Amino acid sequence: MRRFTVAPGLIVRELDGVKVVYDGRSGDTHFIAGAGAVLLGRLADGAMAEADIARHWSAGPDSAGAGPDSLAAELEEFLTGAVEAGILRAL
Amino acid sequence: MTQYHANLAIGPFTFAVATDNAAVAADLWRVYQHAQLPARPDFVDFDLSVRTRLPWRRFIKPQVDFFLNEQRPFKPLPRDQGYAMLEWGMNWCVANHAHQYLIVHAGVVERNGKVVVMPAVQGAGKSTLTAALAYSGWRLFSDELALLGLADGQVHPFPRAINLKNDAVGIVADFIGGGVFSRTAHDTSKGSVALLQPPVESLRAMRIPAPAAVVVFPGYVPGSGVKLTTLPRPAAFEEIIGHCFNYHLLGLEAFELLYSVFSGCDCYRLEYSDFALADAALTELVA
Repeated sequence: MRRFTVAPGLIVRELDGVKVVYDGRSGDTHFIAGAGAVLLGRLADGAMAEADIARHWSAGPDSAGAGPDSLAAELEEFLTGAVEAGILRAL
Repeated sequence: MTQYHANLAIGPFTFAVATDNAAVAADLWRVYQHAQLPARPDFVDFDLSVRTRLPWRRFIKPQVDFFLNEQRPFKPLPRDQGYAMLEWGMNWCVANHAHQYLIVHAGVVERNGKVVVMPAVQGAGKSTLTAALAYSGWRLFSDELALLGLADGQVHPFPRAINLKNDAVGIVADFIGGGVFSRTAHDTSKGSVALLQPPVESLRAMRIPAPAAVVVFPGYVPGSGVKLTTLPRPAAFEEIIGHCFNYHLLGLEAFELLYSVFSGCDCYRLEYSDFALADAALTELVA
């Protein structure tokens, strides 16, 4: 099972519940809201297994009314995008 | 050819300006007649000149060149655009070299010790609005460049002539009841352009920075009167990055500065067509 952690060297700030992330390697600035922002906050404490991430995601702020399949797809899309953007690292 | 020289101290910068063009000199002295023109400044930040290109071109489609430290960064322009070229050149110098500031393409005014930063793309109406506000009791910081100090986080005034285009020239002149303008340069890349003298009071206070309190993205919309919409701060932060000249150059310093600014600012989008209504709406934000 995959584990995920916040990529090293990022500067993470919070503004009105949105995580504002500066990546010094690329110079990019990212804005992450909703469940992604909550997840990023949890990952600040250390790496998490994908199953734990999924459990938190399904209980998160954007999950009300969404079915399990759509939540899983959303989470996969977020994790893939975050890894590609250099915000998260898959271990 | 007669050479004209002036040292112009505006905000944090001193420009040494030379020209062989009497019209450029006349416009410079008319627009900045209330500014500081030190005879022997302690330091010159930018050594500029606007000179007639190839002396024989004085008679056939005459052109002028802009020089910074004897380097020519731009293509020549028609001679009657010489003064506008000087002003654009000064903007270019600051935007490309003054990296002790995070520089945002924005109109900037202040009232009650609170700065309103108005980022906008060209043609949105920010300079027109800035001019109207500057002559309605607001302190002019700039119609073009917001200078956010990396060292102190304050917005620093740079109250130069206000660049107005096409119909905006007459509209602003009517609204403020006159005003001192440069000659109008026609057929520029921006249309017909005239520069409006900065208010005397703004020049007198040009060394007094102030904190940003409000970020407003303005846009002239015919018939809108005024419409002010709250903008989430993260969205405004993301949008303003696209209006920065040197955000990526400054990197982490710029990020931390903008985070600090937005942590203390309210953000809005403003649609306007009525200067007085826009003035009242913005005044309420800095009350």
